[in-house]
Amino acid sequence: MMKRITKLFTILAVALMVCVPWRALAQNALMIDEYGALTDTQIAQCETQLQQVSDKYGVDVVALIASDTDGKDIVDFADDYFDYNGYGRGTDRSGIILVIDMYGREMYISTRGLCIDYFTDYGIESIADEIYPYLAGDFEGAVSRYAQLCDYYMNAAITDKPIDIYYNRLYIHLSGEDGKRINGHFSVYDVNGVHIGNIYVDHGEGYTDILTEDTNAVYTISCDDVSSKYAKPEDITVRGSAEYDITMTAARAPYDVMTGGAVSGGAGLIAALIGTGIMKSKNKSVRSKYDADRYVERGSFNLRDHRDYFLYSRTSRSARPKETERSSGGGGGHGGSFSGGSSTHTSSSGATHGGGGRRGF
Amino acid sequence: MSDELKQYKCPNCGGILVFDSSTQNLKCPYCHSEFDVEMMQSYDKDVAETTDNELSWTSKPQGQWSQSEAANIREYVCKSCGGDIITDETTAASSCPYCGNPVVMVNQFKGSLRPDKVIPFKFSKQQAIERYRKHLTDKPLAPKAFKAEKHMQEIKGVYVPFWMYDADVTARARFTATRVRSWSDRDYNYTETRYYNVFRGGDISFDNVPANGSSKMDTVLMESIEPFDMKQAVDFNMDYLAGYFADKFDISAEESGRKANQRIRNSTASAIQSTVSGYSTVTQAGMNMALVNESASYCLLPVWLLVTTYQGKKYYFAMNGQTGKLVGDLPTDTGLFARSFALIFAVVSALVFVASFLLKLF
Repeated sequence: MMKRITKLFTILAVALMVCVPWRALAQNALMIDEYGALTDTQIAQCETQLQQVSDKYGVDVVALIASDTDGKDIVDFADDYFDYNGYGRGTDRSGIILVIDMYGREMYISTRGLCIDYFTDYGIESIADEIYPYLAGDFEGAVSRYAQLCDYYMNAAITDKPIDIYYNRLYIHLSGEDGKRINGHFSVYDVNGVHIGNIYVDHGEGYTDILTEDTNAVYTISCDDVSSKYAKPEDITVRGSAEYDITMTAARAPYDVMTGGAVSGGAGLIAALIGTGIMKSKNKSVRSKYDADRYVERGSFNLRDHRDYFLYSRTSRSARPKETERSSGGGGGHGGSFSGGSSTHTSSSGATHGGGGRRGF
Repeated sequence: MSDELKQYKCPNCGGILVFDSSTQNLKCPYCHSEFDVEMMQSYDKDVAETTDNELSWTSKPQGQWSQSEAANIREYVCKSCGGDIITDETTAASSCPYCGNPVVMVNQFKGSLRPDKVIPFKFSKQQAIERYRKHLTDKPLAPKAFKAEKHMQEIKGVYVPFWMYDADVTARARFTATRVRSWSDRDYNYTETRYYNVFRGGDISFDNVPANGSSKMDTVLMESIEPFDMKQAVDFNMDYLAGYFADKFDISAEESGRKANQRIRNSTASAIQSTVSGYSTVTQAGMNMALVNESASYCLLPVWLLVTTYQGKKYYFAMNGQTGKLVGDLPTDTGLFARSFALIFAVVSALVFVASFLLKLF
């Protein structure tokens, strides 16, 4: 009898154990290696690293090396893994997960909560590009670098602003009060004199449509036109070499005597005309009398008959103008495939996720 | 009712109205307006009674000089301007008050109408000069010639002949008035105008409406020194002439009455129109006036007169000898004008220029 019961219990225990979602039990772990690409020591090291970064920023930084994606698209797989395994801290369930699909040979990063803003599309792409070389064989290196980059990007996002595409655009800033009054179109040339792009400067500030990674490049700027009374094209000088910022000063255009003189003359003329007009009118005092009101015998006015009666009425109408359609103007174009910021989608659990990845490692 | 109805025209469109037995009203077959019969009769009568008309004065002044008075009058004539002045035998006239040229005494005083009333001079010559001097102080563009002291002494006291009109006026006036109402719906803006006929009849009396009786005195100049207070007028007496000149009238009461009529008409019209209220617009359609108890009297009114010749033209200054009111158009001294203009121009231009430079406006 006892033998039978024990056997039953064992079978039940085994069955239960099989049914238990082992994956769920691993939810507290930030480093998950299903595939077996890492040694236990490596897993422990990665776990520590990820834990450190996660605690530093209050989000879950997760890395998963998966055998496959259960037949799902990697985007859904990554989102669901994160959502259904209870990852994410705070009410927003903030966190970031790196999924390396060993079967499909692709990697994907998904973000949720605060991390959506911390990691822009450009940021995720950059991280993916950086990790990609490691996936050739150094998976520990990949996760480690991933953790480092998450630290770096989140630090930037919190202390300054999220790393985004504009960091790599040429930016013009015209300094000073006069600088703020300048609107204009400028052409940008590289060190060889080749025209590489244009900048529209609005109230002293402007971005180019040129994307550049080279922080040491030198550019020359020429002014196509300025709409401001405060600077002539030849008065605009480039100061310093162009790195990320180009600073220009606009020399104050000299006082336009022609316009100033013309307006002053006009004002003087009007004043003189009015002044002499008043003086002249003082000379005239003879005026004809229109009525004899002063000679009316006081109280003599007496109304005897009065009749008011209605004759007819006429009605006219005019059509009211209809509201005309107005179309709003379109925005300017952008260079490159990124427009900045983080794009999001909704996962199967209904949560909002950001993300990006690379294929074919 | 088979008596022939007068043909009435529709006040709205002018079509001939037709009697509609079902409504007992007059109806217009063109614009379909309807009018009450009694109202149309009243309207028609109002239109007939309010046609504009001209007033005419029928009574004529009758005063005659007595023999003793006539004997003491000296008449002087100015050869250059034809001015005709009379004064008593104690006063000698040397220059014409109208043009400053010498006058010649006429041997025989030709009889003319004797004035009924006179208002004596209240202001002396000194006072007149004083006022004149003060008048010139705020006239920056007046030529220097007008301010010359010696010239101011030339001011002369003249009795100017006036016709004074009294009348009780009965007026009947008709107005077309409208009330306008506007409203809108989704597609249109509507405006409804309702037309009314307004009739008013009333009386108004006028006392001593003055009109200039001398062609030598500019009428507008004389109107400008009004009013004269007739309560201070006294019956005419030769004594008042001593030291002053009186102009003989040469505009008939009839003729100068026309200006008086115009003024009476305007006063009557505005008094009547002020009783019409509650409308968006009021337009006078006609006014008929009748004069009752009209009379015209001949009155001498005191005026201090100064004539100044400047660049070949004569400029007249008149001061009301009773009230002291002073009028006269002055010419503009071109030199002074140019200097003032240039000065203002220079100062203002400079200020604006400096301000715009400092404020970096250009």
